Amino acid sequence: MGRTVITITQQLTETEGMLSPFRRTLRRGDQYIFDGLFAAARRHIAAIGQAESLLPFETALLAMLLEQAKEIAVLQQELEQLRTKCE
Amino acid sequence: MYPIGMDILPVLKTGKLIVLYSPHAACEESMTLIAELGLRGPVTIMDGGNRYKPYQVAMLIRRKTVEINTVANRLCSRRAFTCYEMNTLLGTTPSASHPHVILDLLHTFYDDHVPAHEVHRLLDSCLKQIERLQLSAPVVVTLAPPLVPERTFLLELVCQKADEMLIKEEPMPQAVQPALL
Repeated sequence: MGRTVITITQQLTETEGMLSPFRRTLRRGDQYIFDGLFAAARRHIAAIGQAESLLPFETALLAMLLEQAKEIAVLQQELEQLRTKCE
Repeated sequence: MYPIGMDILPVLKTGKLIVLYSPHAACEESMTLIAELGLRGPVTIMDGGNRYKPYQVAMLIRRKTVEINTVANRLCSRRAFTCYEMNTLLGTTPSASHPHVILDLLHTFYDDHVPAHEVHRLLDSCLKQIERLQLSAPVVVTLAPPLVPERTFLLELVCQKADEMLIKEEPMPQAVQPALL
């Protein structure tokens, strides 16, 4: 007896495949950003799986947001450090 | 006999056995049908060939409603991995007034490890159970072509019992003009 439901990794890859016409139409620079978004979601694949959502892509979008929020937090911290140095 | 593409929902009536036949056991069509039936009420799904794709059904339901969990709770799925299990699965399914969808019924019956006479006996038993289910609700069965030509008789046995038969032909490969340069 094998798996009865596809894995979250497979599901995410399928969704990425479904969005390939959208990706193809983007500018080259934007395509890199688009790939980065999916790479960000893949960093949280275990958490997306644990969410047991009927629509895993919704949770994947949240994972992408989380990674962006993390980057913003790091940048804010760096900005604060630079401000302190300047003062 | 009709080509698949026509709306299956109006054909669904209590006492009727609808058979969908295609090279991939009408996988796409049956997922759409399950989603549509789920929006209307409870559905029992019996899967013989690992054809049920819950994520795809969830996406189809989400296009029509935001109450996705309510609809998903109406879908009851059961799976069989051998023809013996399929027989037990059908035998233990209570007669209910909601539709039953049997996905790739014959997939486990195509297993060449099970002798032909045994497969014949089990399929007869399964068809009797399907007749029982038909009395109280519509039954939809999806079928795929046999893996070996010796098992074609199974397909004929099921088709003889069908009230409506919908067939999806495999698209003919289109002629491609090779590049001149």
